[in-house]
Amino acid sequence: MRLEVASFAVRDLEFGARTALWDHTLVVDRDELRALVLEDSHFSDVELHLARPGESVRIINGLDVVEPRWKVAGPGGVFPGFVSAPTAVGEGRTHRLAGVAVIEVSEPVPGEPTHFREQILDMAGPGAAFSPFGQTLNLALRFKPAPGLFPADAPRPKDVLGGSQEAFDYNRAITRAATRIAAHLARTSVDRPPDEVETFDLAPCAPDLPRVVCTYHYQGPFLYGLPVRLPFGALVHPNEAFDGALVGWRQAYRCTYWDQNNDALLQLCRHHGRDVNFVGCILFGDTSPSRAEKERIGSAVARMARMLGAQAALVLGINGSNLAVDTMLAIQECERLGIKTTLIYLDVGYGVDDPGFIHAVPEADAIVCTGSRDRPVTLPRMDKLIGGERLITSEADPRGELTVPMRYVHSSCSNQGFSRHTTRFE
Amino acid sequence: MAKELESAGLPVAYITTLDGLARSVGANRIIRGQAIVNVVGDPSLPLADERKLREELVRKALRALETPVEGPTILA
Amino acid sequence: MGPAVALQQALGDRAQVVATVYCGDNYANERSGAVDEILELVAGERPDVLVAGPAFAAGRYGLACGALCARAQAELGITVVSGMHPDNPGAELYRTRVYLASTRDSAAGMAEALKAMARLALKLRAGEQLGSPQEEGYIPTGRRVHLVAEQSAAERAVEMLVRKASGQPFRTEWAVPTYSRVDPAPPLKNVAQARIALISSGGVVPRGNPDRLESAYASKWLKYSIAGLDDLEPDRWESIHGGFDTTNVNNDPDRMAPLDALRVLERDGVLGELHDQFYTTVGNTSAIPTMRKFAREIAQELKKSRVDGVILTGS
Repeated sequence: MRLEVASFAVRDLEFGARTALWDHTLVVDRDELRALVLEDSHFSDVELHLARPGESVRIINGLDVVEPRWKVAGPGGVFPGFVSAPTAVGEGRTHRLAGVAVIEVSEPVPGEPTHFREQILDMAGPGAAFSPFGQTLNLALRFKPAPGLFPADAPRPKDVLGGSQEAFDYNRAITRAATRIAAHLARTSVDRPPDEVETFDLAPCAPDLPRVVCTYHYQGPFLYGLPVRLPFGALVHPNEAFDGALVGWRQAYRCTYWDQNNDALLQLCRHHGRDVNFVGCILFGDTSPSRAEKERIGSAVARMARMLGAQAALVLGINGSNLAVDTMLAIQECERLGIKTTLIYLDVGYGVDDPGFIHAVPEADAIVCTGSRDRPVTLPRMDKLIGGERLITSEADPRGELTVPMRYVHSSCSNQGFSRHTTRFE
Repeated sequence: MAKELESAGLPVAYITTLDGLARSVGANRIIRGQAIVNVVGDPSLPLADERKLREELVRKALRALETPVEGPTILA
Repeated sequence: MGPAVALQQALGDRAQVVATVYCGDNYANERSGAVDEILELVAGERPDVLVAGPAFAAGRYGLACGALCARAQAELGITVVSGMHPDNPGAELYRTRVYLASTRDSAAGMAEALKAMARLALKLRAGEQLGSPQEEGYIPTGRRVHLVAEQSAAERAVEMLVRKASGQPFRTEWAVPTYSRVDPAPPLKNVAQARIALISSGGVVPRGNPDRLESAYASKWLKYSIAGLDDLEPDRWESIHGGFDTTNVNNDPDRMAPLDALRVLERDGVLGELHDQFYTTVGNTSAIPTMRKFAREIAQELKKSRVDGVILTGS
């Protein structure tokens, strides 16, 4: 399965009369994009804002982030299940606008769980260095729900994790709109020469290289457009992720952009044939309220890895909730079968002598740390505010100086491998 | 919490679904609960049976308080 | 004098031992004001660095070294280093405040201990960033240092995986904990005569959550009277736990805090008496030291109320 990803380096982002890519500048026609979004009756309005590195801008109520991509050759299209048919992708040629991000912004609607939903993005100051999107040219879409979708007397759901069906549907409509906009923007590159082309092709390689699988504890709601639960795992090719088959947001922990650019998958592809034989990616994860369910998941992951003949597994794990047990059981089971593991993991501890794990097994002896989600960070006052007038977790002036835990900073706690933030335990 | 209470001299019967986790962090008297979303109950059972199940779990926990243990132990 | 000769050797020409203070372990630990006296002697020499020990496994020596270093660091603002075996009680007390070289348990490890202490002293004095405890040979301090790495997590992880898979040495960035053990409390002689308290970390509170217990990162524990109550009824109680789907518990809060069963068993004489306060908090994403503190506070109350044992429920 061979995919060419052609990158178009975008160095500036502006509003203009016609959406176009011109000399590394992406021009966006506001009215055209607005009309595109408002084809969906879920929305009464959408505001478009630019947020560029160095500007004194703060975006609050951020949701998912997607990268503009468009398929120019090969079967299927980008964002299968949302923008194109939900059929296999990952072959041919895909264009990407490198350096551009489309950010969904929406205040929580009634019935939507607000746990951990606070997501703040500063384009200047220290906050810009904590979020990967402090360094991208961002088009923020602020969505407003159609009146009547959420009557004031609608019952509040008791389930703080899932939320109501109406809220889920509304947020899925946001995802659909953002992926459509992203695809539309990337179409501007169709007849242009790319700055760089990288080919991803897990071609057969020397038999003595260690067979490596990526086992990815997945928190994304969608796979090929379908909300999935994966207690038995699903096997995906890295190229499918690069074409946008893995979509969805989960607080600071994951977003679509970083599966389109999943660094663990990218690195394994780049090492393929050199010092590893990368055999594919197992997505897994489900709510698992009992021990039996957790054991079922851990065992299924290891079984699938073994069937792939894996000798080693790069594990993208979840920490900070009972799901940590599932990650750890998967590691334990892999190691028991002789599959060596390395784990990419977020520190969830705070204060002196907190080891930072919800659960740990002795087999998890090779861990790369992606920083600490409860590390306090101070964000100085920003001049411009996008995304509403109120924070979810505080009555403080959302423009003013804020001291917040790292997990409130947009996409700062991801297990998708890109982060350079780390914590050392002295 | 269980450890801190025990170190203060109070025996603690800790009912939890994540019994392996409880043992690995060092809780001493562990009773295996039903499910995370209903530790001492089971909505799939008729009410009377569910009450009986809960009573049985609590009985086990009370027995655990009378049980000498050497270290982290799962008392079923 | 004494270990200072070898220390000077280990320091080389980068530092000079200006004075040695010595006294007996008992003097340092038992005589009130001993540490003040030593501190005064140290201050009189105006040193840049204080090196104390190594104490190896000697407990009183370790405590004296730790106490002196902690005060010299705080009051004189100078660089301090000590060294001792990780099991030395001085390590437990002072390792979060003072860098302690990890030494062997006896003076047979004197030479290597002094080398490690000298290395740490020079680095700290020069303001250099220390590496990990394993690399630098000090006892883990339990503190976190936040950094930006050269490479992404994925790049580092693939490198580590290649090493591990091919049998080459590799080093984790973060060691999984070995949790401390506590001695089990002695069992109750007879539950039928005991007073038992119910505690839950499952977020069960009176409906409407009047005291605003947080559904994650709880900042407090609460207690509610259950005197005269036989059952936690769903129209009066609920769980506000933010870490699991609370529907089942909200339909019957006894599924988290089994009051109904405890009352039946109390009536049947299986347990002596149920304590009339129900203690509750949320164990979701909470830092371990916080939960430990809650438990300590609750334990104090329970002891005052002559409670004999605890039923604790949590997800």
